Amino acid sequence: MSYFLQSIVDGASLGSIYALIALAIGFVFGILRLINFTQSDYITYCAYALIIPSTAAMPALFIGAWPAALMVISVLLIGVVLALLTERFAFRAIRDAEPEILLISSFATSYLLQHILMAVYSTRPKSVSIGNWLGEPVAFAGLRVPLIQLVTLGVTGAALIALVAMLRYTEFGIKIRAAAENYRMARLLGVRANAVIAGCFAISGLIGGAVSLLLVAQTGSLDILMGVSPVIIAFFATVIGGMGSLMGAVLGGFLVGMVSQLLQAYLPGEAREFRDAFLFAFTILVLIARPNGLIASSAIGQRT
Amino acid sequence: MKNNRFVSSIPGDTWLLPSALAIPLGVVAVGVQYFGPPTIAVTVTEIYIRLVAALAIYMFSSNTGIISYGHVAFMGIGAYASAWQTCCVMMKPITMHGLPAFLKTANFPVVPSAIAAGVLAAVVALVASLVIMRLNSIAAAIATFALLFIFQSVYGHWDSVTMGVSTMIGLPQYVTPVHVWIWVAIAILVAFILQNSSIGLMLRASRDEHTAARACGARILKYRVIAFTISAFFAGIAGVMLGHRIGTISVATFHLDLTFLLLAMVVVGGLRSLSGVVLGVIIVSVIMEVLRLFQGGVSIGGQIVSLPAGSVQIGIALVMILVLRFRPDGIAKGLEFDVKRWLGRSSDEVALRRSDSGSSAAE
Repeated sequence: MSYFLQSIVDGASLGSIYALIALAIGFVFGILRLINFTQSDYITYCAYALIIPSTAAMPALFIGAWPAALMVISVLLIGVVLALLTERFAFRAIRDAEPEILLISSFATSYLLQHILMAVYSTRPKSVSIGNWLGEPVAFAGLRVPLIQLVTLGVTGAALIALVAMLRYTEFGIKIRAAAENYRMARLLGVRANAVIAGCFAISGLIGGAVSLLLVAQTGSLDILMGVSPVIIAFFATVIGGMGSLMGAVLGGFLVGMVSQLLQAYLPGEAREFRDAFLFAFTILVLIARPNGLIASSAIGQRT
Repeated sequence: MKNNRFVSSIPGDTWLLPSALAIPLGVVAVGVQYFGPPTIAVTVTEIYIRLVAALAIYMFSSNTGIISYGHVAFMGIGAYASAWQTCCVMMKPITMHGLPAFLKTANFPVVPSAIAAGVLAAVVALVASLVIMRLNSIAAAIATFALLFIFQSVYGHWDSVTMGVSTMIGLPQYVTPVHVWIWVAIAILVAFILQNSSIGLMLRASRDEHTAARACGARILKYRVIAFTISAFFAGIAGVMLGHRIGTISVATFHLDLTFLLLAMVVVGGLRSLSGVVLGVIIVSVIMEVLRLFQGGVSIGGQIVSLPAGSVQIGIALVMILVLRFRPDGIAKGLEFDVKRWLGRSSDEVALRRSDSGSSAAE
């Protein structure tokens, strides 16, 4: 029983990270019909900003050496700035292109950013130590849970509540929802496209920064591809949840995290190695059963 | 489209296009293989292998409008299948003990093995596409992406058959420029026949007006499955060629980098015409080789100029972004070479002709 509960806690912690990233992808997709692969670069760039530019395996800290509050704010800010830069220079000019062109463009932009980072830092994985104390296990309801999992759950929970509240109660949130529902109509009613779109990118950059800190604190290492795998999985989470639906993205993220952890815990030994294959097959099955995802958005498919 | 179901009657002179694309490539292949320096032969072989792979993506994506992010998985499937049949008979029982007995103890001739490997890729694609092609176009593109990750997960962990993430060595290196060119020519021909067949016509109709095409009775699912299966065969063949060119294969080869490179080639040239794809592969390959040369260091006026590592990838990504920005239909703009004009026959059209009008002229 406690093994099952442990898996649930692990799944919730992992799922909450996927949910956050899925939400970031959902924000941008909802308005632009753009699947933003550069989300993975927001995460990677923010993480690499913690160290000084170097190819060494154990580099000196840069932003990572600053006081905790300043460090967190700086990293989040870097995420926002990077996201706004990609919006301005990579996506604004092709905003009205076909969704297929947008998808390929974001794939190319992500590849570009990844290789620029690689040229500066080399592909060698690096170890950094920030927040080692977060790895300490704490007793919690009869389980021994690493503190970082609780912190992750806390941070992502707070972020999710804040974002949902923002969407529901602020004027900006209402504009975003209106634009996600019907972009052209929202513009006709006076919603400024540039402001809303830039706002969505800023939020996804902010989320990228937060996720990068959580990931680095969990693993204590940096890798050029560290953002890719969670973003790809989160991207399938948005598909499962229903592209264009923000609540669907959150739901999909948690679902994928849970399924992934339960597969890990309960698949027989040899099959366990193929966990990711089951996960992606699960995505395709969900797409077959519900082509528009669990929560279908009315604006799915072509931009109206 | 009267008697023959799939190949609508193609007027004689229309065959000029595939010939005009394939024959010069063949001349180059013969030239470099028998008269050129070995390094150039290697470069040309690699370009032609990418051409087969890009043509495979083209066969499916240009007709359906669904960009496939999963074809590299079929390259991997083909490469491994060929390795199982032809590689290292001494080592196989130990390193790949999970193989069925007939593969473990014997080796097979390379060409039938390549074809069998392509067929395996096609069978996998057939099964996958029966599921995936029910989706609308953007969801189907995402599902092909999932295919790539499923391949990575399965082949990366299936140690008893694929040796996991380790590199498999000792594949016979039989691939020469002329050998690959034969596959290039077949791929060009098949792509051309497919896009001029009723299948291609109906797929393009559904690409442009999905609902209307369905309403007119086009059985889109069936045709998408056929196109995906045929194209996966050629992707498999490209994978086989790649493995037997280098002599080694590993799962990591068949991942995002190769996917990106092939998509860059298809996009730069233009996804909507056969000439565009051929052009795209050649242009991107030339840019790559030049950047690679500079990355290694080039002496200009006594000064060694060298670009930092990663310039090749950064350069190609920039080219791709710029093309998408300023010429989203690619350099060829979805038009085909007008071969007749080059041959000096009368033609009032511009040097490039719309591929779609080529197929409507065939009716």
